[in-house]
Amino acid sequence: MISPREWIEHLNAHAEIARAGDDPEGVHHVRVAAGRLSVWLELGRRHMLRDDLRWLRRSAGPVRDIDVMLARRRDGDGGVVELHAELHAERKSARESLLAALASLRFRSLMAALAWAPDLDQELARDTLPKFERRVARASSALERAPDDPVALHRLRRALRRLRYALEWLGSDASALKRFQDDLGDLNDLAVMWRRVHPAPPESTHASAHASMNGDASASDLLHREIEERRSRFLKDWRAARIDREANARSGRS
Amino acid sequence: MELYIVRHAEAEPATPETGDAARPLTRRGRDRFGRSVRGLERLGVTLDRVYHSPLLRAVETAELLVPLLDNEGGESFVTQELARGPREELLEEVEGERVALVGHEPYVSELLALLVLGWRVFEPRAQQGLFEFEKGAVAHLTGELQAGSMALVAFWPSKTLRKLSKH
Repeated sequence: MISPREWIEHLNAHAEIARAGDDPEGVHHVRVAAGRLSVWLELGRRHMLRDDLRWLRRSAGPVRDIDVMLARRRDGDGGVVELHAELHAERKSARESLLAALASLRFRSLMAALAWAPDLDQELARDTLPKFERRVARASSALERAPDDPVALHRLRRALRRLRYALEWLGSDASALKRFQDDLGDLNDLAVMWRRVHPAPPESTHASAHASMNGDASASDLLHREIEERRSRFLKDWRAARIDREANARSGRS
Repeated sequence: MELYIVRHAEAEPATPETGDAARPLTRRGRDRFGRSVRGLERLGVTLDRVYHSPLLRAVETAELLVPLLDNEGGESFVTQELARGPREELLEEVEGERVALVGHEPYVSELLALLVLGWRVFEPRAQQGLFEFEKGAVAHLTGELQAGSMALVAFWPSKTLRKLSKH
């Protein structure tokens, strides 16, 4: 049987850290634990509580995105420093929303329901695993048809993450997937930052930050170049790994 | 709003391991309510929201309602408000057009009395037997989700819904 207790405790512990607000890892791990528990439920073909876990992840998402951007600051870059003041203000607001979510009846009800959920049958979970694999295959095919589409990349990232969590719940080695998931995660973080500093309507304060970056175009160019390089590298590695998997499958090797 | 108040299906008795909160449905309870859901399907019931109490028997009963939940946009919510007597907080929380609330006696009867009759004070002895809200039964109400503002459209015992599922 597969017990969720460890990850329920992890979620509880990091909700406390997120409430305290001193360590951004609290928010990050609330999202990770919620994601893992959602996969645990899906492995058991359970629908209830997954929407509540999705709500929790989304509540923490804006804070996490801003924390990642703030962590990438480059001291002395006038444009980014200007954006930082705005990011800090937004983080304050996003954090208030997150704190409200963590204090809510929905969160308390979710934690109670998870505590009472029965352990998962291992065999059932194994029988459900192919669904996660098919999702990765579909997302990978969609990315092949549209390699520049950020939505396709996001769907593959999400599918990989869920497959990785599913394998780990089953005690299987998911290290190869973790590498690809981490690469896509880093790429997504850069894309979030890019969308943030990309040209905004003139009346918004983003314009001043972007103008700063544009006046000294190197920061913006560097970011864009880094995104393109990482995307190309990921696609190359992913295609190579897929070809290896197909070759192994044809020769009967795992 | 089309509202379906559901009492959870038959559950195992409490044990030292489960306590009351973690009592799962019996196999018979699961089977019977599954058939009741097919009966609801034949009646054309669809849902855009399912709210349920966090107790395991309510979670498992709500799980069986999934075939009625909209594929696009259907959503479920867990709320401790359905594990206690009805309060304004519950009425403020619930949204949607076609909603199921999965809970427990005596609260589902109290909720029915509140919404249809406007009763806010519940005296268990007085209300005992007012509604034969057996396990797996469903009450269908329509109207605005406010005390005394809903009309009772139908009250389906589990047996009735199961019979419907056969035809």
